[in-house]
Amino acid sequence: MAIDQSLIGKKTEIYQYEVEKGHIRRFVEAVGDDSPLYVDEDFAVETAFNGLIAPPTFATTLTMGKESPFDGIEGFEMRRVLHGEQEYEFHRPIRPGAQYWVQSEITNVFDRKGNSGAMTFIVVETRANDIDKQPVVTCKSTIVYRQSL
Amino acid sequence: MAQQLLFSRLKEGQELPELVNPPITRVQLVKYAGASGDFNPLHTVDSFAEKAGLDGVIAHGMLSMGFIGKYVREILAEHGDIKKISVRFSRMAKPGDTLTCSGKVSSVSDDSQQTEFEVIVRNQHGEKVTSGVCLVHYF
Repeated sequence: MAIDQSLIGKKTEIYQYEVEKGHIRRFVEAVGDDSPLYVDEDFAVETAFNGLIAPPTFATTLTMGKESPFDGIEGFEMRRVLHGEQEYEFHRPIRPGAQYWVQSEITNVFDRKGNSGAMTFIVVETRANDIDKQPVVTCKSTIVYRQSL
Repeated sequence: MAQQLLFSRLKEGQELPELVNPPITRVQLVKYAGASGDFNPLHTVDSFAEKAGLDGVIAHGMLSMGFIGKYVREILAEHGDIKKISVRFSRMAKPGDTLTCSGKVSSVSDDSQQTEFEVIVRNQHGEKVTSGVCLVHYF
């Protein structure tokens, strides 16, 4: 399977993901984000959020260490991958203790000629739904695959 | 710390107060790798990064987006919700780089209490590293 438009529609199974309070804490510590909304339960419960939430970019963890739509693509090399663009649309906040059902799909592939040679742009869409099948977040990642390295 | 701004104080075109993040460190990249689950060795192993044509490890693009999340949350504090955030990664950042977030109010909707911020992350040379827009909803 080449790294071209034949990848469009390749998707993962739906997998389960559990949000852990300690994981959020480690994440905000690494970023250096000290908002109490993410770690201070007593504070967060008194706000309009009515409890702890995760910071927006915590959504990146939804796909990490999980099945990926890039799995099993012959010749796919991580060292050729750069992150081009990222978008998160939140339908509701990510909350510790919640369980989500997640699926990623390659939704677009296109070629561009860049400064450093041929590049293929791959768009991956990831959706997370909660236990009531309500959408939580829609993630759109644009990966730059450097064909000529 | 960036200064908190209430909805009633926002005007279209208004500049947002800057946020200067502490310099990126290698330890931070290891921590971010662990916390985010992005173990691409481009961010932690120099020899791997060199094989990829770089002169050493680079920061996760997502870390700079994390700085934007932090920036917008400091401006909103607990008075609003981040509905949408989208960015483009333009330039790599490295350990030792100091990234500064700046931005402006690109639109304000009084009806829905929604506002859009345009946000740019620059390095210590003033070069654009990451930029994008963030749609927020004030309560």
